[in-house]
Amino acid sequence: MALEPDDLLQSCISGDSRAQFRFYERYSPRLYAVCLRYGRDEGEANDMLQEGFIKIFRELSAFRGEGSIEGWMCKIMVNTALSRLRKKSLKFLPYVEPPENLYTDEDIIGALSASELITVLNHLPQGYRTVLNLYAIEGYSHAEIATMLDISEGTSRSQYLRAKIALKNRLEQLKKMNAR
Amino acid sequence: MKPRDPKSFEGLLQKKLAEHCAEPPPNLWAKIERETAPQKLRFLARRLNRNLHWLNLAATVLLVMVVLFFLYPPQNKSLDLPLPKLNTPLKQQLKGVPDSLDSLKKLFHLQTKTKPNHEKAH
Repeated sequence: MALEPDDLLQSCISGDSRAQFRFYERYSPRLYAVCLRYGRDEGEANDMLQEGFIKIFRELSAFRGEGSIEGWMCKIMVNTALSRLRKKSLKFLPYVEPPENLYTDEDIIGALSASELITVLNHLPQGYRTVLNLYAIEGYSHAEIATMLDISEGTSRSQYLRAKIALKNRLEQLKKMNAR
Repeated sequence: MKPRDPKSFEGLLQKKLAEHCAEPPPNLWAKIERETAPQKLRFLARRLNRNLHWLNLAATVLLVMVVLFFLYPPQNKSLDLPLPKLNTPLKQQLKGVPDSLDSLKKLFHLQTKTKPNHEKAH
C-alpha cells in the first residue's frame, strides 16, 4: 500500500525500516545525482549518499515542514559533500583574468545529456567544480559560498570564472570532436 | 535552490542538472539500513555476524577433517566387519564348546551311574 508523503515521513521518524526503504527509493535517485556532481567518482558519490542518508534519517524529526522535504534533503546532501571535501583539503587555484570571448553557447550544453555533462564536470579540478556547483546549479551567492567553504568572496568569484572557462573549453573540444 | 536566469550559462546548467536523477547502486541501502537501525538491533546484528564467523570456521575445520578421513583412512583398524571364516572347521570355530560338551557328558554319565532314591532306601 502506498503511503502519503506525510504518513511516510511520520513512519520514517518512528523508525519503521520498511517506510525508510520506501523513502529512500523515492528520493535517492535525485540525491544521488547531487552526489555525482560533487564527488570525484562513483565511489565517492556512494559514500556521500550513504553518509547523507544516515544524517537525514537521524535528523528527520527536526524537519519543520518549511519548504519542500526534497530541498531540505538536498541541502543536507550538499553540506555532507562539502564536509567530506573539506576533510580532503579542498584546493583553490589562484586567480586569472577571464578572456573577453567568454560567451554562452546554448547549443553545446543543450546537445549534451545530463550524465554527459556530469562527466565533463568531473574532469574539472575539485575546487572549480565545487564552486561551479554551488553558484550555478545550487544558486548560492559568492558571499554564501565564501562562508560555506571558509574562503574569501574574491576566491569564490575567481574559482567560478576559472571553472567557467575550463568547462567551456572542454565543451568546445567536445563540439569539435563531434563535428568531425 | 535559487533559480538562475534561464538564458544565462548558469541557467542552462541549472536547467540541465538540477532535476537530473541517477539510480544509486543496489547494495547501498543495506549499508544505510545497518547504520540507521536501533542500537539494540545493531548490537544483535554485530553479535550474529561475529558468531557466524566462528560457525563458518568450525564448519570449515569439520569439512577438512572429513575430507582427510576419506583421503587417508586409519591404517591400524580395518573397516571390514568381523565375519566368521568359512574355511576353518566348525570344531576350531567353536572353541570352548567341546569343553562344555564334555562337562555335559560327564554330568550325564554321573546321573546314569547314581542309583535312584527308592533303591538307596533298601
